[in-house]
Amino acid sequence: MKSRHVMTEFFPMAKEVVFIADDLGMSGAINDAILYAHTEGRLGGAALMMGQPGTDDAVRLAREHPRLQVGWHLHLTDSQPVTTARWPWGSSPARAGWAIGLLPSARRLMEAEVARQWELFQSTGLPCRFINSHHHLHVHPFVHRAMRRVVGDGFSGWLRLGRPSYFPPRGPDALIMSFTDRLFTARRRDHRHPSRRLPRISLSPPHPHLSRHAMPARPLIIFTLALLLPALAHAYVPPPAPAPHPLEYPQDTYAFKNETVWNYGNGTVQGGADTTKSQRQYTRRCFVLSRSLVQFWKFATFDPNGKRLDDRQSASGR
Amino acid sequence: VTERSVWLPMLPAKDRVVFPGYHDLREASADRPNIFRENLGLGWAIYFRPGNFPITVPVDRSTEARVNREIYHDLQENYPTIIWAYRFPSLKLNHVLVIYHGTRDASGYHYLVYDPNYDDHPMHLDYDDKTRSFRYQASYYFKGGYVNVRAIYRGLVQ
Repeated sequence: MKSRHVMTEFFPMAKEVVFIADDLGMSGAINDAILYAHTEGRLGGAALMMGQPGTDDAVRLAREHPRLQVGWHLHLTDSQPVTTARWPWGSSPARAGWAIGLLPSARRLMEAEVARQWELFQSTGLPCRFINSHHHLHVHPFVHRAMRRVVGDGFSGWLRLGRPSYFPPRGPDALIMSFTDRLFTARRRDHRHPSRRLPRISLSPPHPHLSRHAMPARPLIIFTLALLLPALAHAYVPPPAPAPHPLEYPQDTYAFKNETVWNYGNGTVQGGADTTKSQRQYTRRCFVLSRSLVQFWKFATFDPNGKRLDDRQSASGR
Repeated sequence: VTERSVWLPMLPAKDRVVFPGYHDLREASADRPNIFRENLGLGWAIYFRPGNFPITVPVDRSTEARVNREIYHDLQENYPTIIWAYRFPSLKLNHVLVIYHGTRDASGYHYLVYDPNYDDHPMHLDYDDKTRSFRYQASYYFKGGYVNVRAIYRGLVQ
């Protein structure tokens, strides 16, 4: 108990540590392992997959152990589907995500699966305490939408929407899904149900994956900045009052010019770069000359009757 | 002068940095070009400008129309506009100009611009109302034609 208070003191965002086992029902061996962890007091809940070889056995075990909190583990890849013989996209969650995103036929299959699996779960009579999915595909926007539509607003459990860790967390699939999940998970956070928490079941230090549930939505900040920066780049504030005089050519411009790095002829590059010291020393200065031209127009003035400064004074502007 | 951010408001005459002995910038820079070259700023530093990132965002016609309205409006108030003219992802043009004068007729808008690559005459930039696009005149380094135009140095990320 003492360590729990200490942990809450120093890790205020890690109040809830939830241990959930996925894949309940995938096979008899997995069921046995989950049950063992639960009866040993290490596991509070398990996510049940419908239509798998061990599903019937898992349902029986769940009924026999009412303290094991059961949730729905939606599966759309790397499993046995319930409305078709096999997944057309195979076992890759990334391929599943792209197919569902791009192909109407894949989307129809996904919607049918979501509806049928939820129907099968409800037919077990087990209370659904939470929802998650195999390979976290429920964070996919289409899957998430279909799942919410099927489950309805009356669902009082919680939905896992942390930052997923993939197994194994390497390879192109993991890279692609890591990026898309950062984006989509942030958008879905607002829809989390307030009663998403399970009772605390362990005093172990928070798992880095679970502790991220309560952290500020960093992906959301990045997403917002990505939208905001282009807007700032185009931001325009009209001048408050007319300037006393316009910028005029040639008196308000320089008597020297920017030199190009490349040799040009008829508007195109001819040959290679020619940056020998004797020929071109003042290159890549179009930004500098244009900017400073306006700076002189705004912030400097010239007095033809004054005494000219030496080079050092001129450079310092004093 | 160049340490003060260019997007800040114009200073009143009494607060300005005075360059005695010259009538204007043209005369001063002709007399001591190296002093100016060495103190205006570094060339490589512009590669790290915060306002560079929008070049990767495609420019649509409505944005160009809005930029044109803003440029013309500012000119009516005597304010020049620093623009970035480019053809990204093509590298045919990547240049910065200062628009300092503009007129309007039935065909569109016609601007006079300061081109840092020339020190003896201004150049011409036009905006076509029908195509809602800018066209820059031909020069020794650009064949002329359509260019993307973005107003820059109006703020920290521009």
